[in-house]
Amino acid sequence: MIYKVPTRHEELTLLIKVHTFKPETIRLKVTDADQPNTAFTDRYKTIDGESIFFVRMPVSPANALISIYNEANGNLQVGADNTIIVDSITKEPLDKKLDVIDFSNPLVRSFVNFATRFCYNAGSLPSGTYLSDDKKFVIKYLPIIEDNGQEQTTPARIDIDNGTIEISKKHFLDFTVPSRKAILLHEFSHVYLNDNVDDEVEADLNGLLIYLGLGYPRIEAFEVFAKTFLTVPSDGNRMRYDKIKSFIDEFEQHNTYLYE
Amino acid sequence: MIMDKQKMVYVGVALFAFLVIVNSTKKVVLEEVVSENTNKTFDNTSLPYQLRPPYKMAEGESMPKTIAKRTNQFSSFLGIKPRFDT
Repeated sequence: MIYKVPTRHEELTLLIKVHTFKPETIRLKVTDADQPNTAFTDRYKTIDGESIFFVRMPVSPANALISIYNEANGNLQVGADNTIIVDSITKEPLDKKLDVIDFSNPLVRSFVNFATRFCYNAGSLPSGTYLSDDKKFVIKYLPIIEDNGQEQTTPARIDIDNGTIEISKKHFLDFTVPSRKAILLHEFSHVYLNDNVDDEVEADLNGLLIYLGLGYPRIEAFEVFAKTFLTVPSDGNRMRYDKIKSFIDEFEQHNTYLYE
Repeated sequence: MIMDKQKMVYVGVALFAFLVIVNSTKKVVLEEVVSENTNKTFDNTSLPYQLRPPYKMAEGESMPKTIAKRTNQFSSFLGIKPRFDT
């Protein structure tokens, strides 16, 4: 089932209430009705009875397409699949915590604006070099990231000497807008927020603080870190994942906001 | 008379709170789309300013000197190959 919802580029949370009659794996995708390669979430949940999907959207399109279906049956039209019923779709205000973000830092203000515009449009932007309005940040949007002719697996990296961010278009086209934002904030944190420029965990948490404060979905953060940074199982990566998880949990419970 | 005024204030406040709650939660009329358009054409000039694509530098355009840097690293000074963090 695909529903069209006018979101008018507003900040909002979509509440999608569904029910099933036995445990079913339900897939939810929210995409831009007009812009190609622009998704806002792509997730699934096993539902038995009633459940609500919450989709936080600090950035939204003019019109969103909500695809929701039982993975076992595929995306069928309304009435063709009686294993899932969409009860309602509701728009609610977005919950943000802007006080945790240091907007008194002009670099943070500038980069958040630059990254938002880049991430929302990355699905239709051509490769090239992009510049922030204040000319302080540069993103090289490359078809792929290479070193000595060898394609790299990383979707993004930052030159710690001059702050230039390189992004692999091949990877970014497949990422959701929130995932793109989480990656860019991680790279930004390495050079502009970290005490230790090489500390991955510090960059994770500094980037996450901004990401969560802006109201982006928690699930996308887990997803992107698991897929992008933690692909190799190791003790270091397990520790990194645990820190990310507890940081997000604590953020939700309003306990600790600042990374030390 | 005084009580009436107080009541009117309470009613006014309650009505205001009710309207805020009602207007902040909007149920969407479900409009089904048969299939997603796979051949999307997108005109970004219709986007609000805060979502417009960033400036794309022209081929051969030199980098501005205003780029924010962390420190003057020795490696750049010595012309050593750049070091990246992922």
